[in-house]
Amino acid sequence: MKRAKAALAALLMLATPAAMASPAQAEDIPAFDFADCPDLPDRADPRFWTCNVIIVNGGKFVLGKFDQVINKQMKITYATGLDPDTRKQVTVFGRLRAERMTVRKGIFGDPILTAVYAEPQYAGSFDVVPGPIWKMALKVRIINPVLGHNCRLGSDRNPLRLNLILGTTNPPPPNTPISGVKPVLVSTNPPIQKATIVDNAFAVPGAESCGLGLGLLNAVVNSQAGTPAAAGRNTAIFQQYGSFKKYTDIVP
Amino acid sequence: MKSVARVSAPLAAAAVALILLPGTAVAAESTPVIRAGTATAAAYSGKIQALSFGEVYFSGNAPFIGLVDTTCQYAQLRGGVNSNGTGGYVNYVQIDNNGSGGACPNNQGGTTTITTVNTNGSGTIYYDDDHANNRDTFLKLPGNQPGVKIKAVIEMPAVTTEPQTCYYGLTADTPTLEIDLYNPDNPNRPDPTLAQAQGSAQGQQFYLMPTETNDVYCPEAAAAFANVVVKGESVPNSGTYNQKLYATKAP
Repeated sequence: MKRAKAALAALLMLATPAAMASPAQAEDIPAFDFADCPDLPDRADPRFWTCNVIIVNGGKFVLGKFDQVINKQMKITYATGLDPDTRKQVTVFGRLRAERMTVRKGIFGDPILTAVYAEPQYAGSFDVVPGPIWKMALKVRIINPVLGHNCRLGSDRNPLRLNLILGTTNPPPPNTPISGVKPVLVSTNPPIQKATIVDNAFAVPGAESCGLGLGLLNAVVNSQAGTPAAAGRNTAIFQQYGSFKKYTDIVP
Repeated sequence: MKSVARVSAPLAAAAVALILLPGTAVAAESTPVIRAGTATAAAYSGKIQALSFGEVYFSGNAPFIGLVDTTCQYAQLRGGVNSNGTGGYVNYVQIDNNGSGGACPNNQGGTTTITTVNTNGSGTIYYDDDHANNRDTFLKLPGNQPGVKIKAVIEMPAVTTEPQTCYYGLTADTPTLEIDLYNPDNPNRPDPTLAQAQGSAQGQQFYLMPTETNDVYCPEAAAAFANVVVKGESVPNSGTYNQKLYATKAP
């Protein structure tokens, strides 16, 4: 009982501003690897494909009342290519790797029972379309022993649908427009760019499978996190570095 | 024409392909006779012009953002050929948005300016005994022709404030390119309402030149899509391209 109360107390702290670890240092250029580059589709010509890696190491994620500074790296690997016969672009997702971020440290100094973590996860679709717009389906795993292993905001069936851009957004109220930052090359060999992509017009679904995997605590999580949260009440700001490799340098 | 997969050619090479009429195919190539207008007309050797109709597209994949698709409204290529398909060359290429040098819009919010730096490419036209792609003849362009160089300055203001300068050509590893050519009475020619010889590039590829300094966002390869009307000169060296052309198989 005492354990559950402590965990619940931790959950009740979810909505308070997180006094979190400081964001990554400004010019701390991460190391890139291309291990997650996806295989090319059958008959694809490698000259028309690149493998792209984005490492998000700063920014914020506002999901309802859940205001999270991004203080852990997220690595997104994807391939873009062109069918030279049809002029159609094809995007193939590789992998999202994200470390759990501390939403709220253990209120009693306990790093396990009363701490709450958030972990972004890929939710089944990713595309890059002219604009450019990075269209990404995400879900966010909320981690705490009482919540169980599958507590999430969003799911593959009902994800957060982000449309991240370099330009200026046009969100519904109460959000106001925000702007990304166009890429700046910080290295030419290897090619590495620094940029910020944003979206504050997306909705956040409610919690699922929180509490013994049966959803017994969905309402508690939703109450504290302010979810489901309609478009206009959520924000994603991804400060990132990006690098790429041509598939002619990958495919033997 | 249906492009040959994994075949590349620079723009000028594609231009050579578009202006040279008959040819012999890889698997079923024969020597052609290029003629002045009909299947029984006299042989024609001389200058040739290929002039686009409809839109001309150049498509490539850039890092991070994917498709960079440029649409031009005008392409003109000039060169010459012998009546047996040999000696094909191109010595003039113009690609822009209006015939007067305007930059072509692209799908990344900017424009692409295409400039011919060198046009010193060559190829051979063959008659296709098998009529692949319903063609009559085709132009074969070998790779590794360093005398061909096309400069493209690509603006992508939504992505970067720096225009991207890219050089494309026939590089050392460029495979042989084929472009389909059609007689004026071929029902499968690109525009059956035009009773003129026609050529078609559908995905002809040309590669970034590693010997040049290219910017980071330059697509490594670009595919060209264009349909052209092909004509000769009724009066040699007149500069007036009004001669209908026709290709037959050499006896």
